[in-house]
Amino acid sequence: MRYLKLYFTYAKLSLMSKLSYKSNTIIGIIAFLFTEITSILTLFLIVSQVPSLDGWNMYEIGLLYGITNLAIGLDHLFTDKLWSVAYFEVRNGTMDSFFLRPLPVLFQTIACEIQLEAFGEILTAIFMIIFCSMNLNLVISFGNVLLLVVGIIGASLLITSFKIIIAGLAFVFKRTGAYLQIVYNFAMYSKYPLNIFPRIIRFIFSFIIPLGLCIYYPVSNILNPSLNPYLLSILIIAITAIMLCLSIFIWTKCAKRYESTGS
Amino acid sequence: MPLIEVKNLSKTFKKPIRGNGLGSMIKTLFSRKYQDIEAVKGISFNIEQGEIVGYIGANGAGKSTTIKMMCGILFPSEGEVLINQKSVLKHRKEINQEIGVVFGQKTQLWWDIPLIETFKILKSVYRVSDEDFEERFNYLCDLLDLKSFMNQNVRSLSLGQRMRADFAASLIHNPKILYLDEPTIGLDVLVKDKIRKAIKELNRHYNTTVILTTHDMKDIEELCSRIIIIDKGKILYDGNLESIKYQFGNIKNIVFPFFEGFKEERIKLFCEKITIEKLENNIKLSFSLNDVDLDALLLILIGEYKINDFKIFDIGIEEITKELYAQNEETK
Ligand SMILES: Nc1ncnc2c1ncn2[C@@H]1O[C@H](COP(=O)(O)OP(=O)(O)O)[C@@H](O)[C@H]1O
Ligand SMILES: [Mg+2]
Repeated sequence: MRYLKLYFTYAKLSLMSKLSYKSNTIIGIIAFLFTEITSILTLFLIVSQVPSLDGWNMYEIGLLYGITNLAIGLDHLFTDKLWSVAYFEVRNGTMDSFFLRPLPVLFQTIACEIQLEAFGEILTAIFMIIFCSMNLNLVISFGNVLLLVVGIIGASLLITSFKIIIAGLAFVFKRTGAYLQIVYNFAMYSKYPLNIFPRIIRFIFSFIIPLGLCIYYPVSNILNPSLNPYLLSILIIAITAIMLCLSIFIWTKCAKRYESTGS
Repeated sequence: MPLIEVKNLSKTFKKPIRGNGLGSMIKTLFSRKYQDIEAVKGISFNIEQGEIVGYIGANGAGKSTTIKMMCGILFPSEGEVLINQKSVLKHRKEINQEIGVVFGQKTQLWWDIPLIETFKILKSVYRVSDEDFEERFNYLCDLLDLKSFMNQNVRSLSLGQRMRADFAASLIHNPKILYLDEPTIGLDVLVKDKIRKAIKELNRHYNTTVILTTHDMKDIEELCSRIIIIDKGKILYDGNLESIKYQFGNIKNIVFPFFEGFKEERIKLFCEKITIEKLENNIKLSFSLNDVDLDALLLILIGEYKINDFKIFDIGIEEITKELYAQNEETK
């Protein structure tokens, strides 16, 4: 409870400072909107040339894309500071004050920034989801919708966990931004239907970076139910919880190696 | 029981050795060689509640590193710091509640928003009650004159205003201990004075324990009853200011511009024990009043050499450190 309240206090300050650079923030959001819209248009253009991608039609692919982007956008909105930790905060020794407050360092790192640019992704994602859903015959049931919500939150938290781990390693290796970029870019492939990929990538997305599990299967299920949504939800929650705990553990261990900087 | 116990504290930084040129850069990718920098080497001391301790030494002596270990930013390589008999390592969050820290070089204020917001968020971070906050806030505002810029954006504050605000922000939760790492660096005399007065007043009013690093001898003289001198990561001196001043306070420096016709021999003839240094266009004479009659020396300078723009200094902290270090080497 206390942390929730503190989170909102931190978030409020972050918004206040963002708003003191209003035009920057707005340009940021617009830039992300544009990137998103172009990549969506490209996607539609490609898909419309190929009538069916391994059994997926244009709207189905659009739905999958939108749902993935929503998860990505949520992570982007709440945990963007991890990028700068991985790239330069540790290296430049600018995290000293986090170690001076009677609060966990990770909590402060995440709470101190709300990235409004993420609305570029979130808005296009929501638009895609609504637009594609209207053109599809979805099997709407309580279980399927629950599974989808769990999947989106789970996927978002999984991305966050990977970011926490790699950013945490920066405490030891000083700079891990490039590695974070590689993993993040790779995760972006989960926007596309899993079964168009070679088996090895399918394997990675189901088991190593289980984003496919969180998104691909729930989306398939709402299109064409074949799995038990409750069991799958529990599986997703379990995997996400484990990953999150693991990431916090790694972060905490690594944070002890923080060296600040000399004068 | 001492409030702070520093026990055999060491910190070694590992710096990767990077060569120049593409070849060696690629090599370092695969096998990293490290150079050890021993910033702090096994230091120990205790500090009692209510003391104001000056922690001094040349640049790179290891002062900031020690302070960072004492407040939980850095983990020691060896040894430990106990506060209220609790290890800073193991109880960081609990101990953070008891300490306030100001780094002259780095601000801890929220940068892009009005100053008042920093105080509000610190109130919830440290769980300060409404009444305590009210009392503290007004007290600090008066003490440091913050009212006039409380609603200004932090990034628009002058250095002096920012330092005063940083100082107040580190105290809003009424910490038992205050660490100040070069709190007066770059400030003008008026602000320096204000900060010194505030430190004194705070120590008197709340019995706050203060550990302060500085290069300003005046800070030390006005505030500290005890000083710890550190050099190359080791403690050279730990004791009261009086006795060290007694030991070195009689040393004076005279500096004047170099001119044609100045002869070292003439000074040496007057007294062997005067050291003469050439600094760019200036001459510096250093000597102890125990060996030299200052009036007689001035008579030579003014009377014979007709020098009229000279300056007389007391020995600075750098020189005391140098002297101490030299003595230390001799006794080995
Ligand atoms: N984060 C760091 N990484 C590497 N070396 C450091 C770091 N912090 C300090 N040092 C080195 O340790 C020594 C002591 O530094 P410091 O404690 O900042 O000295 P002081 O505060 O007395 O000027 C210096 O040689 C400095 O370069
Ligand atoms: Mg320093």
